[in-house]
Amino acid sequence: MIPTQWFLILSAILFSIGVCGVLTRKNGITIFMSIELMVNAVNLTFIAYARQFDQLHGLIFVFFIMAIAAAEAAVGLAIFISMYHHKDSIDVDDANLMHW
Amino acid sequence: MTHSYLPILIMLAIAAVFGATFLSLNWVVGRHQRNPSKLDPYESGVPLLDVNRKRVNVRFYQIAMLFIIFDIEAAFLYPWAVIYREGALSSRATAMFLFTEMLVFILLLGVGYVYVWKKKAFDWK
Amino acid sequence: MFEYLIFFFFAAVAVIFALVVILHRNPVVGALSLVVSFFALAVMYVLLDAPFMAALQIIVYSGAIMVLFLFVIMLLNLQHEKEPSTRPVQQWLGYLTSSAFAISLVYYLGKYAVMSGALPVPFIADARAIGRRMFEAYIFPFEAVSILLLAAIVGALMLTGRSEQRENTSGEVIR
Repeated sequence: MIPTQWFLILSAILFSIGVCGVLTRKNGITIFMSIELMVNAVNLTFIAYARQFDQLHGLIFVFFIMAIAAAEAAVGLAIFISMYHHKDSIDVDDANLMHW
Repeated sequence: MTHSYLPILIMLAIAAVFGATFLSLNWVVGRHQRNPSKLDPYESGVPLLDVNRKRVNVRFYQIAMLFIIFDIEAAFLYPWAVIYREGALSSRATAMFLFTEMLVFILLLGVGYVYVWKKKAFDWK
Repeated sequence: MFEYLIFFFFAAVAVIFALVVILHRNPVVGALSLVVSFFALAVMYVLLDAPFMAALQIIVYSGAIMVLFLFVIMLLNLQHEKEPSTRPVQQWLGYLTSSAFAISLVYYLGKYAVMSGALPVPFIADARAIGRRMFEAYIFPFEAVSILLLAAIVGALMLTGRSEQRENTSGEVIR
């Protein structure tokens, strides 16, 4: 059995990579993908702790997180499409108006 | 537990080896020539009708988005389907409870389906 | 022993392809690398004795969500677009902050997150166990998810459905 600690470390590394992507990129979709990466790192933590403490609650939380991620992807990408429609760019720096 | 996944791992390895082999064989055996017609999509087919960099109808996105939402709905059906039978065998009340829960779930998403239908997101004219 | 080998291989795959996501300029390459990274995470879930979660990870994340991402990138033709480069200050501060964050997190996890080893009972997390637990303790969140999905449908259609009257008969959007 692989120690839970290693999964936590892997998850920490993936989460930091996601943070780095959000901080350094300008392309909205890439930022969104980095957020998905962070969500997945958290999911890995949930499942690692679920096995460590023999609790199924963590897995059910991951299930709900997946549903929320799908809803979030649908709406978030719709926002980017709408923004591209109006601004011809999905650069997050161009999204500087409340309405257009 | 994990050992029952060994066949999948072996299959992955075989798939990777096959893909790498045939791609590299192509590269080793084939003759290298790079001219514009070689790099076309549909090589030695009809010439392209139009550029592919033009604006696309948003309908495509809407269909893909609906696929995701109903895919998640199906994912929630799996655990329910697995436990429904044993719940139904244990008592009638449990069966009714489980059935009603899933009915409410599906009906709520059914409202979304009707909404999509009324917004004519399925119509392609 | 064999498990450890698989863990390290797929952990390396997950980290490397995650790095490709944030470093590569072409979003199509980024999306495809993210699919590989998610697949490696599914292998992690198998190693954590959660096969149902691994299946869901592949069906929902790699199979559906990333396809939607790829779809949008292709639809908007973003792979040809030049992304303006970030200001160097922001870029290096970002790298510095996130690597400091990573190093400190890994240090503290390595030092303090040492946990006891094998469980007394085998950890069973198949679809049956998850379903049983979900329908006894998580009924209300389960129904709330359907409302969330309904809201997502309505929201996404409202956001994208405004070009209705500007379409011509061939279905192509006129600007």
